Amino acid sequence: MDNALTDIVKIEYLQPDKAEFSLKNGYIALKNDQTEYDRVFLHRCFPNELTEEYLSVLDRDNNEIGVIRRIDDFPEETRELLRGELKRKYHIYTIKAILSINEKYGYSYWKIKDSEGERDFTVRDTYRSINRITGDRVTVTDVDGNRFEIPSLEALDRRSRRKIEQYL
Amino acid sequence: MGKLRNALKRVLKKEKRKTPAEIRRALYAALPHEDLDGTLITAFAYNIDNDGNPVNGAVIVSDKAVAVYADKAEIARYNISECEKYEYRALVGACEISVTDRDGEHIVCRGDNSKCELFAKNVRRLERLRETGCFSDDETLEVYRICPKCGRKLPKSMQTCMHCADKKSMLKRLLAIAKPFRWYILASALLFFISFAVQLAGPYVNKLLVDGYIDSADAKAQASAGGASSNIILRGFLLIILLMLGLRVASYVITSLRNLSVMQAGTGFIIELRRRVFEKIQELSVRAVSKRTSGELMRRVTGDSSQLENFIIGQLPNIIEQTVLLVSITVILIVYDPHLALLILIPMPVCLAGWRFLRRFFHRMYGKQWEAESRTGTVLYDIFSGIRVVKAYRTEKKEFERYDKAAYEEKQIAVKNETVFNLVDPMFGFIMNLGAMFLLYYTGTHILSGVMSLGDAAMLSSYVTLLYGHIGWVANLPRIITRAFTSMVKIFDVIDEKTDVADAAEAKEHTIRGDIDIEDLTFGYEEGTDVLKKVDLHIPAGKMVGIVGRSGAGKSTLINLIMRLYDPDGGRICIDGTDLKDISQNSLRSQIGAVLQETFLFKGTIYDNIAYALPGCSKEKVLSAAKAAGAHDFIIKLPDGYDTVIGENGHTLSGGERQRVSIARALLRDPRILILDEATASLDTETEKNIQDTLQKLIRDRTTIAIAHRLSTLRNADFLVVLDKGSVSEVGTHEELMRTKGIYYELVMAQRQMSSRSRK
Repeated sequence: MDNALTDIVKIEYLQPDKAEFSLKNGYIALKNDQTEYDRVFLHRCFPNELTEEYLSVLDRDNNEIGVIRRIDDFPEETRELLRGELKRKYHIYTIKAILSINEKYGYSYWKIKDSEGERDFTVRDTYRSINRITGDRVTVTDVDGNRFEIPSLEALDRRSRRKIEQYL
Repeated sequence: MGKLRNALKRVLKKEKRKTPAEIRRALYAALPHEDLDGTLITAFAYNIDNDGNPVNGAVIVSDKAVAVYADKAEIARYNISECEKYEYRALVGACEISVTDRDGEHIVCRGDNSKCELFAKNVRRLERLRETGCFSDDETLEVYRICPKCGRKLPKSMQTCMHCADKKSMLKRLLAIAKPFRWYILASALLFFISFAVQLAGPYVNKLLVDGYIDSADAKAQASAGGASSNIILRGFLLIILLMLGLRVASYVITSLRNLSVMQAGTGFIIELRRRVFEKIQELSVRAVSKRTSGELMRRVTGDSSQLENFIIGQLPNIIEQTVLLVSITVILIVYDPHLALLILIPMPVCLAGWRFLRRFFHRMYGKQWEAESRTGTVLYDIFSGIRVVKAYRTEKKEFERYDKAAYEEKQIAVKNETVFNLVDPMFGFIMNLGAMFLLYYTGTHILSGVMSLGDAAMLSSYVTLLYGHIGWVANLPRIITRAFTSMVKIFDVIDEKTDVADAAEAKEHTIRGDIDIEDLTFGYEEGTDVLKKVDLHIPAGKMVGIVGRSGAGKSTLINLIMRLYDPDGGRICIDGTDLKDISQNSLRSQIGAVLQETFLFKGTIYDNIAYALPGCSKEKVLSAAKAAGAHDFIIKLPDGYDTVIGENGHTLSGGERQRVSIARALLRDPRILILDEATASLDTETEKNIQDTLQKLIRDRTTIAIAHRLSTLRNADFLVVLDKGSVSEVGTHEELMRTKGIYYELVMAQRQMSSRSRK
């Protein structure tokens, strides 16, 4: 009786030995069992915590084909393929350092450093645009809806941390 | 080749700063040197490569080919004649454009979220080119929402760049609005100057008193000598006391008068401003209004304008008063004794800086406390509003602990803050008072050496108190002004917004017969996601059409467009052969009666809510409308009948009752076109049938458009339209559609199955 719910509603997990992913024109295709899909989309069920687990695989009409329980269950090349696709689908800038935050008339203008170099963005309603995901991980959403992530506040240098601290 | 590269460089580098038309012109100049020929259609930049990494890329489209460049080198080219489909797709934090040709789908380019609008618009343009072979003039298509001055992207709900808003011209416009109140303003200004004079005179009279009588050996000697001279002295003394009293009274009267006049000017001005903002918001289209949350709009109408009101009535007089006071005291001091003035003025900036620092420090400190307080509040609100769920899951204890924890945190922060405040604040006060000590020392030594009189010392000390007493306020000034300016910019932003669903210049009144023609209609609430695609539909006058389809198929959207709450992105809607845009919105909507999915009732009586559609109509008419809608029967059962107050704090109507009131409201108008969007969904089948039978008689010669999930609702419809994923997939009568066995057939079968199962 304990498992009644999970017995009745079965989540279709994709089997590593049956699901074949392949790269095609800049996106991924799937051959699952005998069915071929010329393009599939990955969607994280828990984007905040589990970035490589519980990935829903959708077809062109947004119907779920199945769920990838864990990327690590798949062979090496497939893993790379899936990670590449995730990177393309979920675009996020990683903040390495905060150079300045200037507030003026209700908007704040940020200058940060990411892996590519310096980057500027504008944030509206600063307090509400900063989200604490887990204790130490923070995201900032700018006026466009782009996301900027600080993987760990602790790991930031002291100056950067002091700049963002007043908004936390 | 070289020229193209240079042009590309320009696109990438100046993309932020320049308007797109200029970019395209620059590119176009470079085109003939490339093997990419034909007419330039569009060019735009993208910023993410195929591996999800940042890149400087550009896409150039001519009417022959789509060429993709990354870091100045061509990486792909697609032949326009072979392209079968262009698609825009939103990812998470990013978006992409893809093209489908004989070899399947290809990704053209990707960009982060700042490119969404640009990509979506370009895809739409490419699709139009593919279908019709023509494209609209680029220069008129606005793809960027950037500030032409600083290149920053404009925030979604704003038209003006907060960074570059022309504050001077806005001030001018504020003054223009204030014009009707100019006499009050002048009077205020005059009273201001009188009140300065009175304020400044106070310490001087004080000095006269001290030097002439209290501390004057001369006066003392004469007074003690008695006789006539002592009387004269006493009279002079009394006169001065009376003068001081007079000054006090005058100051009181003048300040009161001044405040009254400022109040008159300020309130009148603010109400005028608020009226303008509200009027403007009412005028804006649903799209413009719904892109802002209602909270944001409320803030604009009430919050921002009261911020301005506060500034104009509360702060502006103060600013003028204090500034003039500060300047005149400084001048007096300098004239009196430059050394002393220096001594008093030098610590001023230090004190100002100290104050500012302290303010920020406390602000941060109390900010945390405020946050903790609001957290506790949220927890409480959560528990109270979800009390049934809490009870049902027996989680009272857990919730109590949650509250306890939040309250404890709040207490911790509050205790810490109070401790710091009580240590720091007196200390700062002490430091500020050190200045007064210096003054005391300076004046003291001068009095002792006989250079300065006691009266002078008292006067100087009063002036210095006036000067330093408001230093905290001066330190706070920039913040006050910034806040007022922010509100001003936001208010003008609304007032200046263009209405996007506007009446055409020669829009006319039109008496509707009811023929509706929908031609090639395309529409999406957001860029790139079309809710309706190429809908073609003819609804003859006086017919009833039922619209069916799955959730999200675009049924309600179609109705919104027919009511012209939005303008279509492509195609057009005509009523009796006239484009909706050429019919004045007043005339159009006064002839359409709509019962919408969300049956919104205003706070007020039931009678008011029904009569809302036709203010001032007769009671009989309201009664018959209610009767036709099946509302009469339940209304007369209420103790207060039609006078029952509903809405907030009033009587609560059930979903079905609300629907019947809204139907009555729609019928009251005697509309030429009746729109029923799930109008009877919350009613039981019996009541629904009764209403429908009445409706059937009423709608005989009116065009009626009805949406319903329960297909039995539509059994009276002359014909049915099945929408699927935004397109018309089937049109016909019930019998015809059942025969073709398409989507409608499936829907009917599914519903029959459900009802037969529930009957078992």
